This record gives sequence, structure tokens and C-alpha cells, in this order.
Amino acid sequence: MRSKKDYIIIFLIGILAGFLIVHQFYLAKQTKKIATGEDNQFLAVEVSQLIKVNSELRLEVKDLAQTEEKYQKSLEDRQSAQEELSKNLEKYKIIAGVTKVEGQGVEIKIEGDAGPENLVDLVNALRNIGVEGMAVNGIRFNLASYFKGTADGLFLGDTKITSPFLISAVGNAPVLKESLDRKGGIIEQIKGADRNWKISVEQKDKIILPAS
Amino acid sequence: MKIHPFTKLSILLLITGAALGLFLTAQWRAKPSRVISPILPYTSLRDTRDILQKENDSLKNQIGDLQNQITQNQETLKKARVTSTPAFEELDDLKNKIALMAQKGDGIKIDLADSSASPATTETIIHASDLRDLINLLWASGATGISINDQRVSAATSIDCIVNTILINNARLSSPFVIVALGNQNELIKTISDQSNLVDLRRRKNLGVKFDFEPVKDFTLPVYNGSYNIQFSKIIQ
Repeated sequence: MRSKKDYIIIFLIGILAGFLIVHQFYLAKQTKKIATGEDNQFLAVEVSQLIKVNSELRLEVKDLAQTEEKYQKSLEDRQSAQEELSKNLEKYKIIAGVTKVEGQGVEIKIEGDAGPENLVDLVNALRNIGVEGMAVNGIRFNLASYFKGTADGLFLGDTKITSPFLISAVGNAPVLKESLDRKGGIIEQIKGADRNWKISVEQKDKIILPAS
Repeated sequence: MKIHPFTKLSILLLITGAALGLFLTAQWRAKPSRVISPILPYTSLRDTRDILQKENDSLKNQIGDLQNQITQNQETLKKARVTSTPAFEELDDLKNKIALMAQKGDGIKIDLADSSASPATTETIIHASDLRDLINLLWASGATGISINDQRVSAATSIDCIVNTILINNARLSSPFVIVALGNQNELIKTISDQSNLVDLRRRKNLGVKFDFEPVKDFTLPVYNGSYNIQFSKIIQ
């Protein structure tokens, strides 16, 4: 005949087994999550993005500090003031897209019925990689430029644009080419699996962007 | 043959003991995968990200301070007539065009937020692409300046997504999003109210995504405090 003590032992073993089952379940979940490296991957992307942006910001701080110093000095020196002002005007004209510029970069040719959202995504990716200026089908693209899809077709601002779409971008040409062409990059995403579009990226030593 | 009750208990205890042994083994075997799993890189990456983010904030503050100082110096030069006034006016006009000046005016405020429905799906959250489409539409309706959660949209701004975070000017933003666009208020409201625009966002509004807008008056957009590095472009005539 079983004693009361035997039942207590079985009960305790049951509790322990139950605890272990639950613990094992959570442990397996946690291990899987860590082993997939999902968090690491996303953190790595954030870190690499921050490294890139911070190095650009450091350059900007250095540049602005020099400008500020020169303006301080130029309060006494008309010539220096004029030079600094001209330098600033030149830089801002390039960024605003109000002047014709040349420089190294890439030309992206899209042969296909791209919609406004495809071009919005591409322009966004180019800005993320770091471009100094862009033009789409010979039209300068600046801060307030926009794409619009209508029944009459695709428009960049008030101008109708049609395939093939030629996007010219001035910036670090090898970096632009590599970032655009990489597996899983923006070109592959835009192209999609089921689209029969032809997209090419050509690195160029000299690209000319018109004034807007 | 009749089994003795004590033997029955022994078999039961044996099975339970064996099961317990299996779990203990499983536990023991699970440990190495935690040891070799990338916990160290994870914490190291997280710490590095936090350090870099602090540096990022500090650099942006420095840029803001320097921009203010430069603007003050330019004002002083303008008043002292050290250089020509039209050149300074051109400079201000250009700075305004590239979001390097604060902008005050009337416009529209748009609120976007993830649905509170659980579990979240791709249909019930705000995506970077929603913001990109909205910004494109706002420029199309004549906006003169735009900000998203106080991040000024500039010629260098990209809107990207990492997991459930949206990166704008490298600031990590999450829902809710407040987008302010200045410009012709009537035109902005007309465009956003148009049912043929932002169709996907409107469809997802029915699933709980927040998409509301209202007019704003005398709103001030902040200055873009990121970088505009020009290294490869040269002006030609």
C-alpha cells in the first residue's frame, strides 16, 4: 500500500517536471531569438548608418566652424567677408539646384512603366546614400520637387516624363554604384521579381546637371 | 498475475524520473547554444549605437549653434554694410530654399499613428513609404516647408525604416507622427482631403490607422540641423 509520503514525492516530481517544461519552452524561444541574429542585424544597420552620418556631421561642424571664424574676422576685413559670402552662395546654389553643376556620379536608366512611388523610393535611396544633386530626364530635382501620377501619365512637377527614365546623380560615384547595385538594394527592390523592367546603373566621371 | 501496488508506484516513479532526466539533459544541452549565441555582439552593438547616437545629438546641437552664430555674423555684416545687401538677400533666399532658415506661417498639421489593434500587422502600422508618399504629395500641393516630428525635411533628408523605427535626418522616430507643412493652406487642405490621394492610407484608416489633419496658424518649422556636404559638385556656366 502507498504511503502518504509516496504521493508527496510524486506530486513534487510533477511540479519540478512542469517547471522544467515551461522553463525549457521559454529558453528555447529565447535561444532561437538570439540565434537568429535579428536584433544584431538591425542594430548593425543602425550603427553603420550612425557612423556614416556622424562622419558627415563632423565634416559639417568643421566647415561651419571655419565659416564662423572667417565671418568673425571679416567684420574687420571687407575682402574676407566678400570671399566667405561668395563661398557660401556657391554651396547653397548647388544644394538648391539653381545652378548648372558637374561632377562624378551615376546614371540610372529605367526602361519600364515606373510609377511615382518607384521614383519617390529611388530618389529617397539616393539621398540616403548621399548625393549632392540629381536630375530626372534632364530636369533638376531639388528639395520641393515631386512626382505625380495622373490619367495623362507621370509628371515631374509640371513636366510629363516617360520611359526610359534617366536619373543622373552627382556624388561619390563608386559608393553610389555599389550601394545601388548591391543584392537586395534599391534597384533590385524597384525591379521586383515579376517586373520585366530593364534597369542599368552606370558610373560616370562627369555628369552635368542643369539648373532648375 | 496481479502487480503489487508498490511495484506500480516504482514503475511510475521510474517513468517520471526518466522524463525528469530527459528535461535535465535538454536543459544542459540548451546552455551551450546560449553561450555561443551572439549576446556579446548584441550588447556591444547596442552600447555602440547609444554612444554614436549621443555623438549624433551633440554634433547636431553644435551645427545648430554654429548656424545661429553665422546668421548673427551675417546680420552684423549686413548692418555694417561690409558687403553688398543684395548678396545677403540672395543668401537668405537660398537658405530658405534649402531649409537652413526657420520658417513661420500657416499650413496643415497631419497626424499619423499606428492602429492600437493587437497584434500589429503591416496593414495596421505607419510605414516609411507612407511618409514618403505624403511628403511627395505635400510638395505637389505647393508646400514651402515641411517637418516630421520636428525634423525639418531638407534636400538631403531620406525617410527610411529599420524594424519598427523610422529614421529621418538620422533621428529615430516612432508612431505617432506629426507632419506639418506650410504653404497655401486652402490648397494643402484640398489636396489632403481629396479621396483619390493617399488611397492606401485611407483604406488602412478603416483598420485603425490614425490619419487626421487640421489647419495650423503661425507655426514655426525648425532649421534643418543635419549636414550638407558638397565635395564632388562644381558650378559650371
